[in-house]
Amino acid sequence: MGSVINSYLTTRLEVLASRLIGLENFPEIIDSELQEILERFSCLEENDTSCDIQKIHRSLIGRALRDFEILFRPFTGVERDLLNYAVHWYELSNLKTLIRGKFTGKSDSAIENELLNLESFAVLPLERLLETDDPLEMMRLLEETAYSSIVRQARSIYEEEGQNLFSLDAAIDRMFFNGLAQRIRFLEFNDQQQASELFGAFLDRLNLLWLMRYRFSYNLSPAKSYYLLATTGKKIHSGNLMKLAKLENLPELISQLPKPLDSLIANMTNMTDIENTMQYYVLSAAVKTLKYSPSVITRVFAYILVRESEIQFLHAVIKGKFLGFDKTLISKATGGMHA
Amino acid sequence: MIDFAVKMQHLSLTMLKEDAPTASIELAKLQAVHLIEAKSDDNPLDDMPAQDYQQLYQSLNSRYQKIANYFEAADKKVMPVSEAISLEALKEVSHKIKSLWSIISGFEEEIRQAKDNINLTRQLESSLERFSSLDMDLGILARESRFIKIFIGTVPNNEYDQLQRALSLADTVIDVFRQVDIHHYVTVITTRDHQNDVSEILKSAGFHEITIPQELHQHPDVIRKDIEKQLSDYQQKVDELMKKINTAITENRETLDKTLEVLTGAKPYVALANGLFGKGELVYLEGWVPDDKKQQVDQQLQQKLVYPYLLEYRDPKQEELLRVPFLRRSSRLMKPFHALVSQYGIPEYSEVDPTRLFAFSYILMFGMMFGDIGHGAVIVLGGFLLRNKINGLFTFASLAGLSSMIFGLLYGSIFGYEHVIHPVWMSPMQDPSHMLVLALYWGIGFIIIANLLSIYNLLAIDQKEQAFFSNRGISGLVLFLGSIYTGYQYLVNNSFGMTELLIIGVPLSVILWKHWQHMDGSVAEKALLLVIEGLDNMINILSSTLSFLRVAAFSLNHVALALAVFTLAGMMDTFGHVVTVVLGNLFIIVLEGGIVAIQCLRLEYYEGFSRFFSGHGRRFEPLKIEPVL
Repeated sequence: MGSVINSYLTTRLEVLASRLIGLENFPEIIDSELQEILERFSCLEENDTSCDIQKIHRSLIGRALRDFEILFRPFTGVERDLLNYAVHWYELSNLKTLIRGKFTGKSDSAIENELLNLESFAVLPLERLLETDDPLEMMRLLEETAYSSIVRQARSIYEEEGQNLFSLDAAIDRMFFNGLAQRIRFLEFNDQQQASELFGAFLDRLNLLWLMRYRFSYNLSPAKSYYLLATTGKKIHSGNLMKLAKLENLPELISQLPKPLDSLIANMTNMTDIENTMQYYVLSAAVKTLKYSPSVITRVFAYILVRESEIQFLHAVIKGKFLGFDKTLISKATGGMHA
Repeated sequence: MIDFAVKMQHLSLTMLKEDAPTASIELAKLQAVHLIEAKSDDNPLDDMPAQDYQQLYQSLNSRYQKIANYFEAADKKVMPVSEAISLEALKEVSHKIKSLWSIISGFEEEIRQAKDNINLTRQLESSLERFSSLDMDLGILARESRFIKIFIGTVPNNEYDQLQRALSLADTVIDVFRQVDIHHYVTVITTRDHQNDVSEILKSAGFHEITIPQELHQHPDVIRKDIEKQLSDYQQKVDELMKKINTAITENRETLDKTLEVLTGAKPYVALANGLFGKGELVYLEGWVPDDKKQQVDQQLQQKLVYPYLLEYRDPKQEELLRVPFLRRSSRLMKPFHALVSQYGIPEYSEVDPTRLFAFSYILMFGMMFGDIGHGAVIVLGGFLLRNKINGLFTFASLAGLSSMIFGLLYGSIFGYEHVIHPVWMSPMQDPSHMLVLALYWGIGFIIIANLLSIYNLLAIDQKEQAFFSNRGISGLVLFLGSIYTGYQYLVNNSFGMTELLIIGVPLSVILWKHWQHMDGSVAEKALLLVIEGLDNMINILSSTLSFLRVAAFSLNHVALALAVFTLAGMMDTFGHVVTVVLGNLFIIVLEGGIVAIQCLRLEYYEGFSRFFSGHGRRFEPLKIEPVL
């Protein structure tokens, strides 16, 4: 990438990063009034007075996507491919909503209401998929898209009643993260190192939480739990994960974690606390990468992660305020995003 | 030379809900109403009564389109519309089509399964040799065992590594015996204790079990025959299912025709749905109607609506002007030029329609830049020959060609020959400086007209401040004229005094002062921006004016290119000479003709339209009856 484009991207990133809330300001947002939050973050589209939580979520994502689009423009080749792929996370959310909705017999309008508008990032023919009359027809159509590889699993889950949809969600997520890891491997050496470091930390958090959930909440077997996890992370490699999957209780699992994760969540017994601590750990790493990484593509990648967390945070806070929850409860629910 | 949009009237129609479908059909037949989809603030009726109808229509249309994929092209008809379609009629047809699609979709699913089986069997066929070379008694694989469970099948390639590691945690062995594009053929051996766990994991991995052919121990030819038979059975099944689909369509032909009729008839009401508001039995719609169509609308509604209704018209309000659609009515001659103007944008309702001016100046410039009797005639002929390929090409080519011929006569040029006929005026090469000066005058005139139009347009949309003080307004025009005068004084009389300074300085100061008032930031930032703005204004004036020199430059270029062709031809024998002259002329017509056409368009768009034409207007798109397919 040329130095002019590099400088442009650095400046553009600085501008966008300066508009982020900042982890230290999250508690202040929780203390603010709902209307103030809605106005400050332009959560409502023009002329929209409905205050529908789904619409607000869509609007937050819509604005983020518009910023991503501008940010991605100077990139080409493998870098552009990686960034576009990363944003497909939202498309997968649509895919899950669609499959879940069709499998459980939700009305088209109810499904449509939950779908995100991805504008130029959209690949799925959502309208046609929505128009399908039953899950089998939807899967036939899905087979013609870029997501055909998950159709077989989806079909097997649909045909085998009693199988939980979460294993399909896990398959979709795993497909996504494997694809992302593969694309990071295509980057130039220095970029690859930096991006793998951040992505690895992100995967550690994800794998650890999923493993704990599968093993101790859903009581799945070690083999099935391991199978549903994503690709290898930064500290918890595949071999570690296999060992951890065999362990029978949470304290044992925590004690066997590689450093620094073991001390990070040592003595924790509550899943929410572990989840919050791990999330804060990853977010801090992403913020640090966004500020200091010498690799521009990694900084953009970090920006996507931080922006996504910000959307989640705002969504959670706004939803909490809509439902009339008190600040302590909202603070606890979003604990992973602030100190 | 300039036109205005057809005068529009705001229409509001309040009627009973039952009459709305009829109103939609009648208005669609007239093609006279551009609907307003947003609800106006003073409208208390805020339900959207046609939305159920719209949703039903969309699902019916979607199913119909899916079934229509199986029709022969010749079977797809365009249905005439006679009457409005009620919600009940839509429901009735929708119900029938839903049932029909459910049958066809079931067949589609069976076809999909059969095709999957064909693929798997084909892959199995190609893996037979690997099966037979497995160093084990294959009968074991098919037999049930007390302690061991064996699975044979395929898993997607991308799942294999994770699956292998996961299965190792369940004391299970997985072995690949064949790899194809997207699948691994695997044997999975596990203990009975882990059978359920492994089975679940395999399902999550998209494992597809394969039944080992009983005859595997037999001679390969026998096995192949069996597989061939299986393949042929599956194919037969696919063919039968296709026949069933066709039969279902044939048997329901009448329903399908009726559906198309219903869809066509329902479409106008569906188009109306987003602009139809109501409460209870009362509905209300708004739109824009060309002034001269009011009476027709009135008559039609009076004749067709059953219940009383209230139809009101009024002039557009000032604040609505930017939303009023733009409609132009003009001759066939102007059609190709409309298309070129529309490429840039649609004028606002109050703005002038620049099409005629565009057509006149474009054709004039084309002739000036590409003046040649022969080349012009070829362009006319080309347009005539291709008249059926591109709509409007003949008109456009005829006018451009004729202009080229007229200027060819003035320049005395025919197929590049400058001495065959005597020029009525002069050849461009005879006095290039004179040509350049004329082009400059043409450019100045062009920009003055563009500025005047800009002032008119700004006043028409009530932007008085812009009309007086911006570079698109009177100040801009004065600055331009002042700059031209100053340039002239400096170049011709070598003088630059207080008068010149004032006639540039005053309008420029006015423009910058207005800018300053609308700027944000510190004084230093504003000052810097203002300096840049001032420089930009002056450079723009210079570059825009000089831009028109290309009109003369291309007329010279045309002669120069012809000279080059003749010089080359002069080096050849008679045959070579003729061929070079013919090919050279063709080259000039295609290449230079194309470049001149683009350059004219560039001058129109960037030196003309960008000064006075926002292009942000809305096209008048009336409610009309359209074919469904």
